[in-house]
Formats: sequence, C-alpha cells, structure tokens
Amino acid sequence: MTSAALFLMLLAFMLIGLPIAMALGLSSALTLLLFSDDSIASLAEKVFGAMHHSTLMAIPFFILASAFLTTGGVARRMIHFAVDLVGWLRGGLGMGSVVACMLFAAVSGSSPATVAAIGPIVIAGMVKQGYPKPFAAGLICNSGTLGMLIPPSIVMVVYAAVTEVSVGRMFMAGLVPGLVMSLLLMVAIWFVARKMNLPAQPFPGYKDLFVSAASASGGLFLIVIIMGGIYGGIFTPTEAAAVAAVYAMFVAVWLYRDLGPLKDQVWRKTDESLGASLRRNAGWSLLALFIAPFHSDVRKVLLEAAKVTIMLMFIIANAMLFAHVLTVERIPHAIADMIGVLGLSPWMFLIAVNIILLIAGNFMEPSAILMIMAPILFPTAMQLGIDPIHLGIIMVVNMEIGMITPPVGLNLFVTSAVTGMSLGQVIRAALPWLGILLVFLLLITYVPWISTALPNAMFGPETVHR
Amino acid sequence: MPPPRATVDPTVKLLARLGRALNWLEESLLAALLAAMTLLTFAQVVARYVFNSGWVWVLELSIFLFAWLVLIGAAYGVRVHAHIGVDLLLRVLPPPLRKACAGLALLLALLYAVLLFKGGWDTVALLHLIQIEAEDLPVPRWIPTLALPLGFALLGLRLLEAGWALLRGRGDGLLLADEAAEAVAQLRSAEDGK
Repeated sequence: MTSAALFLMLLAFMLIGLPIAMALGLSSALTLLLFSDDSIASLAEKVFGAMHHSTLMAIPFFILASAFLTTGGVARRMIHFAVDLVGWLRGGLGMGSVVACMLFAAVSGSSPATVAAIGPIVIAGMVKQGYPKPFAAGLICNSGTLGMLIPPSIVMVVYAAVTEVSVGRMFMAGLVPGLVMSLLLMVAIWFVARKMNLPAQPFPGYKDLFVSAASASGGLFLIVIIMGGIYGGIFTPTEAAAVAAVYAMFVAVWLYRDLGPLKDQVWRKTDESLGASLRRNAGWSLLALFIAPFHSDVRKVLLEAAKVTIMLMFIIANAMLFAHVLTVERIPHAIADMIGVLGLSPWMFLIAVNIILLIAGNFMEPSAILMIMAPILFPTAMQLGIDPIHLGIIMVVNMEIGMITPPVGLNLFVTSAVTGMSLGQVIRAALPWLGILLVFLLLITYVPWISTALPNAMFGPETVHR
Repeated sequence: MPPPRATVDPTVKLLARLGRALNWLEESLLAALLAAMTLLTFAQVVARYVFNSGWVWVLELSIFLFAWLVLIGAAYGVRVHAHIGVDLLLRVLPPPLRKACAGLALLLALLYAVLLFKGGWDTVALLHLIQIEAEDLPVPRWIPTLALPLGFALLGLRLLEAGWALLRGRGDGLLLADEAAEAVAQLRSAEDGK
C-alpha cells in the first residue's frame, strides 16, 4: 500500500513536468511523512550523505575530463584515426563511425555526449558519400550508447557505489562487451553496405595511419591513465578520475590548444627554426600555467561540467531517498521472498530483470534506475548465485537500450537535434539497430564469460559476500 | 516631435545589474568549487608519490566541497533549466492545460524545497546544539551542513522567480531541460571552437 502510493506519486509528479530529481525526492518525503515516523531532518541528512560516497565523487571528475575533451577537437582527431583504420573496408565510413564512437567512449562516460561529439561530423560525411541519412542517424544513435559500456562509465560508478563491488572490476568488465558490440554493429554495416553498394575509402597508407594514430593518442592516453592507474593499484578510481580531469585539461589547453590562452599559438610556425619554436613555446607554456585557470574558456568548461554534475548528482541524491524508502518498506526482501516462493531459476530471473529494466529504462534516467533497482535486485541475484559484475553489465546494457527507446531516450533527442530530423524519424531510423542491441543483450545475459573473463583474469576471482 | 524614449527606471536598471552580478558570482562559485575539489584530490596523489606524504583532511574537505557544489547548484540548475524530466504529456496538452500543469509542478517543487529546507534547518540546529566536530577537519559539523538549508532556500527563491515569470506570461514556465536545444547549443559552441 505504502509503496503503491510512493510509485503512483512518482509517476504523477513526473507526468505533470516536475524534474525527475524533485519528483523522486518529493514522493519519498511525502511517503515518509504520511506513513512512518521518520523525521524530515533524517531525509535532509540522506541527501547530504549522498555526497559522502567517495566512490560517487569520481562522477564530477569524469564529467570534467569529458567536458575538456568534448569542447576540444579531440572528436575530430579520433574520427580521422578511426576512418584511416577501418575506412578501406566496404561501408568503411560507417564502420569508422562506430570505431570513433568506441574511441570517444573511452574518454567520455556518457552516451549522449558521445552522440553529440561524433554525430554531427560523421553523419554529414556519410550522407555526402551517398549513405541514406536515416541509416547514418540510426547507426550513430546506437553506437553512441557505447559511451556507457566502455570505461570510464558514469552508470558503472553508480552501480559500484550502490552494490559495493569494485569500480576497477566493473570498468574492466565493460571492455570486452564494448568490443563485441562494436563488432556486431560493424558486421551488420558490412552486410548492409554490400547490399546497398556503399563505397569504401582508399587505404591512406601506413604513414598517414601512424600520423593520425599519434594525433589521437593524446586523448586516448586518458584511458591508459585510468585503467592502468586503477589496475596497477597506483590510485583509487576516484583519484584516477581526478588525475584524468587534470590530464584532460593539460591535453585540451597545452597539447592540442583547442581552447584557452594558447589557442592561437601554433606549435611551430612555418619557416620558424626549431630553437625559436622551443623558446617561444617554453615562454608561452610558463605563462599559460598561471593564466589558464582564469581563462574564460576554462571557466566555461568548468561551469558546463558543474552543471552536468549538479543535474546528475541531484537526481542520484534524491534517488537515494527513494531507495531508502523502499528499504524501509522492506521491498527488496519481499521480492527476494517472492522469487524464492516462485522457485525461479537464475535464467528466468534474468529474463525478468531484463524486462523490468527495459520498461524502467523508457521512463527514467539511467543513474536513477540503478540507484533504485540495484538494491532491489542485488540480494536476490546473489542468492541465485549470479556474479555481481555480470549483473552490473546486464544492467548497464539495459540502460543503453533505454537511451534509444522513447519517450526518455536521450540519444534520440540528441540525434534529432544534430541531424535536424524529427523525433519520429529518428525513432524509426534507430529501430533496426535496436534489434542488434537486443541480440547483444541476450548474448550478454546468457554468456557471463564475456563480462567476467577479463576482470577475473586480471584481479582474480570475485569473492561474493552473501 | 520624436517619440518619447522608453525611460527605464534607474532602480530597475540597478536591480537588473545586481541580478547579473549575483548570477556571475553564483557561476564563479560553482566553477571554483569543482576546480577546488579536483585539484585537492589531484594534489593528494602528487603528494603521496612525489613527497611521500599526504593529508588526512583532504577527503573530508573534498566531500564537503562536493556537497556544496551540488546543493548550492540545484538552484542554479533551475535558472539554466538543467534539470531533466519527462515532457511527453506536456507536449500534447493544449496551451491552457499545459500552463496549469506547469503551475502545479512549480507549486510541488516549492513544497519540495520547503520540506527539505525545514529538514536541513533541523539538522543544522541539532548539530549546533550537540556541537560535534567534523571527523578530520577542525570545524564543528554544523558549518559544512549549512549547505542544506542554504541550498534549498536558494532553490525556493529560484522557483518563486520562475513562478513570477509564469504569472507574467514570460517563457513556457516549464522547469524541464530541453535536451534537443541543448545539444544544438553544444554543437554551436563546438563549431565556434574550430
């Protein structure tokens, strides 16, 4: 009864246009006030406590790192490299776009950001080469979801924080599924390209390939810092994220000079001697060290990252309230008992998980879903002997699919905005690719090896606390 | 005779300027909070590997900065329409009903802000009464916790401002972010960067 009131209020509040965060917070607050004797002060304390999760503190840092690299020309460098790498295959530009999304996902933790950065450039390129526009738009809308699966990933950080599994393990676990999904998409492109007779690019030659790889490596080194740092035990995931943010600023301001005080200072002017170039660069670099933090470009990036952080963390903090109310109402126990009574086997349970998450993914923001659903599903999954990392990856893939299904599929909105197509057209364009993602979901659900092999090989087998 | 120029009341002008200054201050504060927590955490790593030392209070301080960023920022989020939601129903409603929904949503949001402000106030009052110290920082716990009442009070003010705009018929009065418009804006700024 109480939980019915909770969910009904949430639904009603959201439908009349209350932001998700406040809808979550208000429905939980009203439920607690009406049905229990919890004080309102304890609620406020819970909201404050959300920021006490040192794991969640990785989120603003990853957002900041991604903000520096999205504003810069990093996306263009990665697209260039990706097209040089696979463009000579049939349907090469399409495949190159998938690879570019994959590479960009490795510096960004969110999928709408990936679509917004990669989409405009590659969709225009594909259309110019004779690809149908819906094909290009649908492809990018889907490959953008790689942003969630390939580390660093914000939803993985949320899952790790809620279930107390290690962030490093989750990140490692995302790598192989990310590659598998990219391969699936590329194979599909190859078949379509043969049927529609889409062109291939000329092979650029090894020298050009090397040059574009080197040019993209400044950004790609970010993932080496994060994964290497966590795996090598050099720093905690949160520290890795902070180092990544500082590194991203260094790349954007100093190395690539896409923004900030050095923007108009090229590394080497035409007919400038090496010595003169070194002296000029040294002087400017020293100056930049002091003025960069106060430059208007840097302030803009910081504010943009702060805005995204606030939006996301405000949702997460309020989702925590909501999860708290559910726990007080003993919903996770009730569900675990119900599964026990029904005698569901693990594979049936996982079907149920997928269906619930696919439905939830249509209406809610991914981090909020994880915050609410992970505590509910986790105890039962552990009882059934499902690997916690595997469950995490299943949840992430479900959230990916939620990003490209209406009504709250953020990737759809972003794709529609960057292509100028109507939302309806984008939904239709994304539909065939959605099929591939569903096949991928089945693969991930019933072949746990794909998710768990790499983390188990690197960190040793998972020890589960039941 | 030239048409009389629309004279702007100097007080209104001054208030507008004051408002812009406050907005700038708010934005700078948020940017600075994010920068500070990033640099603190980064410095901790550097200190550990380069100087073989570290500070116990860094984690707690960055946690407090994080809390201030999010709680003070929630009001900023209302001003710049950063909070996302579902506008599925709203988009198909006829304008008068839509406006009614927007008004109702504003009232509910205000109720939320008031409830949480009260909760935050009580929390601070209790912490002030028992005078416990923070774990690692030499400050009483109630001082960092001030972010709660302060943040939700600011949120309430911004909501009142939005309500005033709705009554005056300015804007659509919705609290939600327009993701599509945002993506386009982001695209524009990326193109400017070229």
